[in-house]
Amino acid sequence: MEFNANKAIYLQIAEYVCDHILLATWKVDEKLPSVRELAVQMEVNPNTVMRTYDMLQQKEIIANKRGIGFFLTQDSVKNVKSYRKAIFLEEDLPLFFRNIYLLEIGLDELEQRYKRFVSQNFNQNEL
Amino acid sequence: MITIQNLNFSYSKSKPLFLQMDLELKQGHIYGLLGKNGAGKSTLLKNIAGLVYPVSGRVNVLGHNPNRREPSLLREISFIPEEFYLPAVKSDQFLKANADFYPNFDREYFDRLIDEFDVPIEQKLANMSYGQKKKYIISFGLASNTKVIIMDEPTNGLDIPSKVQFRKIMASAITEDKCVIISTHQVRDLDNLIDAVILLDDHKVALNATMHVITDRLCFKKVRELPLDTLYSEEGLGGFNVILPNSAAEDSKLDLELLFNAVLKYKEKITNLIKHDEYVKPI
Amino acid sequence: MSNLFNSTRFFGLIRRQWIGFGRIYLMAIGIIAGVIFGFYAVNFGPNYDDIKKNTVYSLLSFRAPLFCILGLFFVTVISSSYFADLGKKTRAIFELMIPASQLEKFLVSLFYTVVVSIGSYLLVFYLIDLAFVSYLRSFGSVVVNEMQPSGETVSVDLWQYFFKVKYPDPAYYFYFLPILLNAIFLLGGIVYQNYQYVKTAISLVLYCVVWTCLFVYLMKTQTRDTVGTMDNNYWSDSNHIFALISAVGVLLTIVFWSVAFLRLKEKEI
Repeated sequence: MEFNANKAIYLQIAEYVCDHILLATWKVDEKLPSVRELAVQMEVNPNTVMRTYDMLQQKEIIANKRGIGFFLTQDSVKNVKSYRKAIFLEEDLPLFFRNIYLLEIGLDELEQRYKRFVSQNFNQNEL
Repeated sequence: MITIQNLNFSYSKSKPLFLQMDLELKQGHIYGLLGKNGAGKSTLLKNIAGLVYPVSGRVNVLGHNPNRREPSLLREISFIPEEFYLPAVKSDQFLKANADFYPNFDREYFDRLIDEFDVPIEQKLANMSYGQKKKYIISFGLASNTKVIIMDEPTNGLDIPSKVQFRKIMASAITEDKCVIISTHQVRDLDNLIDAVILLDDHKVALNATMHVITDRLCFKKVRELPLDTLYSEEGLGGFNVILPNSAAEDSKLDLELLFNAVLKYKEKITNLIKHDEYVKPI
Repeated sequence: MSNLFNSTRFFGLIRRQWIGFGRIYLMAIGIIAGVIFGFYAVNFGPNYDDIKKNTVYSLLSFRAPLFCILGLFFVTVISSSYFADLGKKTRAIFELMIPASQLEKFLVSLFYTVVVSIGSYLLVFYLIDLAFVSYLRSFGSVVVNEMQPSGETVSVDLWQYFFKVKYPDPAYYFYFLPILLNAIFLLGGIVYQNYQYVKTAISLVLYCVVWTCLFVYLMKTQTRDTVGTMDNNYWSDSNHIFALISAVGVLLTIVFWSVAFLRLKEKEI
């Protein structure tokens, strides 16, 4: 995987895991790749993946079943969304606001564009 | 797992290489050994393997003095030097002659590694290309299942796919009872693989800390304008790459090259911020 | 498992060392066999007609010097090349890191450079001699009568097999020589980083010259203005002097082996 230069690796791996959960390629009650498997796939130190899993566990996105491995929980998707939302509100939104302010983009224009984007890219049931 | 205390070492009396060096390495980590040319990276590795004799000081590896070269220690060390030699025999013959000395040698694992590395083993080992030989000897070292794995510039001479394979293999090879030490100039080949850094400078270990601890204390950033509390900065494309004290508890990505240059330039100013190495539980 | 000696490791090491050393050894013994064969052939060929007529007496006199010179050369070459790899950084690390004790590594070196090399040299010489001399004896034998210093006459078979010939007594006191040279050249192979054979040989020659000069000088100053007496003391029997030389030789061999072992143990790269 290509990592970007600015964000801690373990957070980037967390993003990767969250993506899989949101895209439902990994499903509820399914076992996640082991720390070692994911480390090999990402070409990173297993301790880094362990740190990712520890953090995701704290946020109750994944759960550790002793001796078996890490699993998705009933609340995984919900918790991923709130985790992602927190990141978005904290990191991405201020940047976005800065840009629309500087470029003088009106909120109505924004709303129009947003609606068009959603109808183009997602079918209505999904989001 | 490996402790070095008050190590003094020199190849000639007038030029000491290590002065009162202390170092402690724990199991479950992949250490990246960095340092300028001539800082003594290879020599430190040789001291750990017992291949050279210190002037004074103690080196302890798994409870042994490596200088005694006892078989019970040697069988727990894989040393993969930068330059090496393989005899003009086929792989099977080589394994028959050497593998028995390592009681934990795992033939199946070896075959798997050779397969992943894509090393053709029908030919005589001496006829292989440098990169193939290197991959062969890395496979042999890893399959020996030793507790200590020492690698001197392992990615030198590996092509791009082999480097990817190397990282994958090392990620799977490290277990909680092993200690891997990799000396390297090719920081970018390994920066996500190693989880602790040893930096040699000025006859001593200038820095020995896990990546986790370093990014806990320091923040690596790219900025347009230099902040007031900048510890170190380098001008880059469209701004500055800076190291700042991590006062806001940010999780940044460690830039090894930047850290390396910063420590060489400002020494204690940087290392004092990281000094208190806290034990990070290995997996 | 013992850190000093373990027979499994010892035999494993013998097998392992063959890969590197066997090639050099086989090449050397091949050349040696060729040289021995060549000497026999050269001495036999031109005398073919005379052999048939049983008229050549001194035909086999080349054997003793050939045996000694070639043998010592072979032993020294083999001994100095055994540890030559330790002079090459790329090879030495692997050799030193192989999990066997230093004692085992040293004993295996003796196994190859003493037991195998001297044993196979004797065997090769014996076989070639057997072939040629048997051929010679198929034409009959040449027996002459010789007067011994004691006055009695014995009949000597001039076309005898080399290892059956009876040599003068002092020769047997020099059996230690190849072993001593083995010890010296083994040590040279460990101490020097390159050109081990040449450097060891030169050091040895220089050393011998210095000691001989010193010895001669001492003897001269000690015996100046004295008269040699023919009384019957212990040292007037030359065999006793040879025995002393032999004892010193054995002692030196042990000393050089010990030093070689210590140097191997503490070899740095």
